[in-house]
Amino acid sequence: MKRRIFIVFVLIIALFLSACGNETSEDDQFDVRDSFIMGTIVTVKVYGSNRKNVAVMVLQELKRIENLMSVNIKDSEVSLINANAGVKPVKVSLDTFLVIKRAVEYSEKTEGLFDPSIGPLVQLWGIGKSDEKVPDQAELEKVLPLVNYKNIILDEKESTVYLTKSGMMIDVGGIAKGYAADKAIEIYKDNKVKSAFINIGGNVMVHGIKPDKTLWKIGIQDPRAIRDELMGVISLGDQAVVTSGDYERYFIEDGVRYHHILNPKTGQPARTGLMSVSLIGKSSFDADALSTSIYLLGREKGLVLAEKMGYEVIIVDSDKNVTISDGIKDRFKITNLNYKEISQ
Amino acid sequence: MNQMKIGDKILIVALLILAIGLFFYQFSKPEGVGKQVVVEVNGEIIKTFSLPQAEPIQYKVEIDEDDYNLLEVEGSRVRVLEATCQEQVDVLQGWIDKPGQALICLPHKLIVKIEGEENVDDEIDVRTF
Repeated sequence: MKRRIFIVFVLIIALFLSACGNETSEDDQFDVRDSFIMGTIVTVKVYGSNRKNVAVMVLQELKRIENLMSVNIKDSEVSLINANAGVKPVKVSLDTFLVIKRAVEYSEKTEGLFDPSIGPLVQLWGIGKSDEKVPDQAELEKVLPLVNYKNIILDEKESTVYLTKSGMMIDVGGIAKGYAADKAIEIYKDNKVKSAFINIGGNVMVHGIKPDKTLWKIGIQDPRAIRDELMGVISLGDQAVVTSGDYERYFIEDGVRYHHILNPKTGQPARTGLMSVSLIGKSSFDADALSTSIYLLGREKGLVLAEKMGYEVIIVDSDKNVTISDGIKDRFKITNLNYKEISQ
Repeated sequence: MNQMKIGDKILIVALLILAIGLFFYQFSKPEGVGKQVVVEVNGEIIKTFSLPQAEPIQYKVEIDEDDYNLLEVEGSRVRVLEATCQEQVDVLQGWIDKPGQALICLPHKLIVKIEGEENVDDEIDVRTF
């Protein structure tokens, strides 16, 4: 009998030891996936027991949004709106309608600097594509009259979008990724995920805090280094961080940097003396639109808009001076000493 | 206890070893893999190389008839030697050798990453750019 008891005892210890390991690991286990969606690299990281399903759901949702809003997909809703410019209103999904509506709201907030009807200008410059070039004045003058958000007619009841002039083109590249990141967070919440993040080409959104109860540490790119180097680090939970800069897509001709954030009034890349603008706040949708808006507005007007909207900012100017808004001063640390903080 | 047969003793020792083994295995799992290069195209792993490699290796990732990225693995590091993409961002990045680092070619949907024990920026979870 004795030895039976002893064997049972050993078995219990064995079970206990292995079960104990399992219990601590389920919340710590994660699924991380890289994918190429919306013309950029997407990383999804999800902790918890349902991590695989949730990661797949998030990627599917991003693909769905891409299929609705990409100008590179011929039968996307945005492509249909563009194809019917000057012809007729196009009925669209609620997603597309909301994104265009929010974009137009930011046009109004920025006196037309942030303009979703920038499409013809984006196409003319072709920055990041094989046919990128500095357009001549005649080409610009032909295209600029087509860029005006006031000629986007939104009908909320019918859920239609109409571009009044033939040749007009909407491009929601400055806001759709932010919308998609917010949708990813909704999926995390619906599935009771406690810790996760989504990164859509630098549009980062963290959900909850890390399983070890610490904040997520988010690296902010050094705008003058090749991809992997950082300028600083910010620690956050449940927040969106979006950066716009002159370094992600650009070309240099005759010593001049031509980047992808175009000013719809001049037709030229924005020259506001800034290298990068990072926005931090509760919605990636707004943070995305705001980062581009503030880059276009410049430092002073940009700080005013960020404060009005309740968002924190990190603005880096061409002399590597960094403006950090008050709400995140204790959360953000400059790690590259070539960059210096200046007061607001 | 004296009544225990040799078979019982072996069984007990085996169970204990199994239990202790399982216990440590579960805690060491995240660090259990050696350093390796993982090559992904469009989210699918197409090739891995364990590190370090005794001899330099060149590996051509064929994207389609015209486009490719030529990788070079040497010792514990990897780089993109040649690529047909326009901006050459991946080529310009040069060598990477630390877990957590990655070479990326957006037009070809290619990621070459190093996975393994220590993480380059243990501090950093995610980046905005």
